[in-house]
Amino acid sequence: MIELEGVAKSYRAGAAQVRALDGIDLRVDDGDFVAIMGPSGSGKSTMMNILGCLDVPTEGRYLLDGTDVSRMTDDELAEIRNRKIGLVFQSYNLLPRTTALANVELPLVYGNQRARRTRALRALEEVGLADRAGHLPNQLSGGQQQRVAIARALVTRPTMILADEPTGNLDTEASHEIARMLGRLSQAGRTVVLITHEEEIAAYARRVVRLRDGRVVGDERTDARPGGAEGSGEEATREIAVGPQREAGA
Amino acid sequence: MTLRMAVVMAWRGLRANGLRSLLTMLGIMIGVAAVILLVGLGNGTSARLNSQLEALGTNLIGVFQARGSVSEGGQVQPLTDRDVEALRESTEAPRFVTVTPVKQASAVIKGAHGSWRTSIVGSSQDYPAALNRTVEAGKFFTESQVRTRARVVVLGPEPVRKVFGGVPAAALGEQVRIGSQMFEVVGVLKPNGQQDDLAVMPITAVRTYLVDGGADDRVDQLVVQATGQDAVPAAMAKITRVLMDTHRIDDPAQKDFEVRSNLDLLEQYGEVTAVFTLFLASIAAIALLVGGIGVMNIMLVTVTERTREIGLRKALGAKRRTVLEQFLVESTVLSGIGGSVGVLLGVALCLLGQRFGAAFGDFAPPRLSIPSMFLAFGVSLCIGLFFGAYPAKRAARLRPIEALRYE
Repeated sequence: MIELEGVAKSYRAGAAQVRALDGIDLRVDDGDFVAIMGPSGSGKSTMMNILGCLDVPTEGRYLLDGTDVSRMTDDELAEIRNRKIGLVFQSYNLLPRTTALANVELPLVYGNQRARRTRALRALEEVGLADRAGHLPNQLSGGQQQRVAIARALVTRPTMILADEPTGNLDTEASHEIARMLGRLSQAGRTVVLITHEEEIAAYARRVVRLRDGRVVGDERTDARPGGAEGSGEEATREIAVGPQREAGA
Repeated sequence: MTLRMAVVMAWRGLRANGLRSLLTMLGIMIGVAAVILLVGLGNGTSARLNSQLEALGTNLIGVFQARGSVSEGGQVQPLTDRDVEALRESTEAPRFVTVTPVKQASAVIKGAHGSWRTSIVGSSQDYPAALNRTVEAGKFFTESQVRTRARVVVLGPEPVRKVFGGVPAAALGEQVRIGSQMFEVVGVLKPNGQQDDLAVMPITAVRTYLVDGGADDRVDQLVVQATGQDAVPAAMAKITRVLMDTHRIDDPAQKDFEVRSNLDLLEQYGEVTAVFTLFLASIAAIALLVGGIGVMNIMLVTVTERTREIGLRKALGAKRRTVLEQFLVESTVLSGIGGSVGVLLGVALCLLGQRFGAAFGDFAPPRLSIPSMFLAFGVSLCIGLFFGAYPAKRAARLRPIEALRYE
């Protein structure tokens, strides 16, 4: 469970004080899929930094699984990021010259976890890239790289997967695939927060929060989702198609 | 994160910029190799000096007539046979093994096959023992030959080469003309690399046949052999006492003779060569320092280049300490590899110097010093840590949001 209570963030830009977030109250339940939308300058990036524990708010409280993380030190935040947050970035941010598997293992390395290889392989399986484990990032397509990044985000079983414009660098087809994958993860019980400015992508979420000038200006549950419906439809057919094969195998 | 993983990660990072890492390592390599080679050269020179001095005998004490005038108008009395006798007969402790007079002259030796001007040493039968010389062929002259002013001579290797074509056996028993007299060659000295151009004969013979006035009892130098290296200081004190007595001098400041031991020389040379070695080592240390600055430079570039990567690692949960360690390990691996290759290079250069150094003339072969190898390698690791510390700290302090945004 994620709770923001009156969160504000101000920056000093020269002489002027800029208030990027201005009293945000937000609650995200476990297993929900929330899209945060807004035009540029609306405070999306600041929101992402605070939700991702990359930065702390100047006012208000941020409770992550009941722990107040808004006053933590850098190292404490690093530990929270490692254990509770899976970050997915617009530009994938995979380590170059490092295999997909080693990239996915990285958060486990920093968390001093055991059975890294098996867990990383399982995460790659979850995003359908088990057969690419030994590939280097530059041998993968953009969509595949982003899926490796998603595997890296979910390998630690975090409280929240936080994706910041994950489709920003991808073509339409790959974008929808990534969005569908986030949808599937949320159906599997993971909490997903997606920051985007593309309506089509936001449509995969079950809830859309709109920001403007650092404030929440809209918060709607969208169960009628054209993109999402199409996605789950495909999902259903795929499962039907897979079902008999499994039986045949067994 | 374990050290092993950090090292693997560092290795990957270094390999990603192969040429750059190699050039940086080269700096450390040259520094470390220079330390080992130059310390080796210093040690080699010092070892050669020591062995040369030790070959002269560390228990030997030389007594010389004081040079110049003695203060307060005192007259300089030469060293004479009386002094030799006084030293020999003194019963005071410590005992002397031998007291050997030396008188110098110069003359032409004329043999059947040629002639050669050489320095003539007049001495006693103790000369070989006192000056650490061995007789290669034949025998040294005896006490009775000294007493009877026998016309016998023991040749050094150089006159043997010039007069007898270098075959010691050919010289034995031959008659040579020295000055106006014929002398029989009774022995040949083994070379010692120090003083090989000489001929030794009884001091009485030198006085009688080579120096004007056979009645002269003067000697140029006394060589006193103490019982051992430890007995040298006491022996020197005793010599001073005895000679002040025979010369009737009460005030030590008015001494008209000098007493010097090889040990003094050894110590003086030791100090000089230690300073010399230190000087060479500090030149090498400067090379190492420059190498260290190279490491720092390249690590700063690396940290800047990899800002995004650092941001990502921190975003994924790397703590300051972890990032700090990663870059420290990287700079240490960099300088450590450079250091190990440098050690190998330095050792190789020392061995080459030992093998082929002689081709470059009079050259003391470098002597490998094991401590300097460990020291140089250790210092190279420390350089990695020291010069890597600032760049690593910069990396650790980066804030993840800014680092991730860095282009």
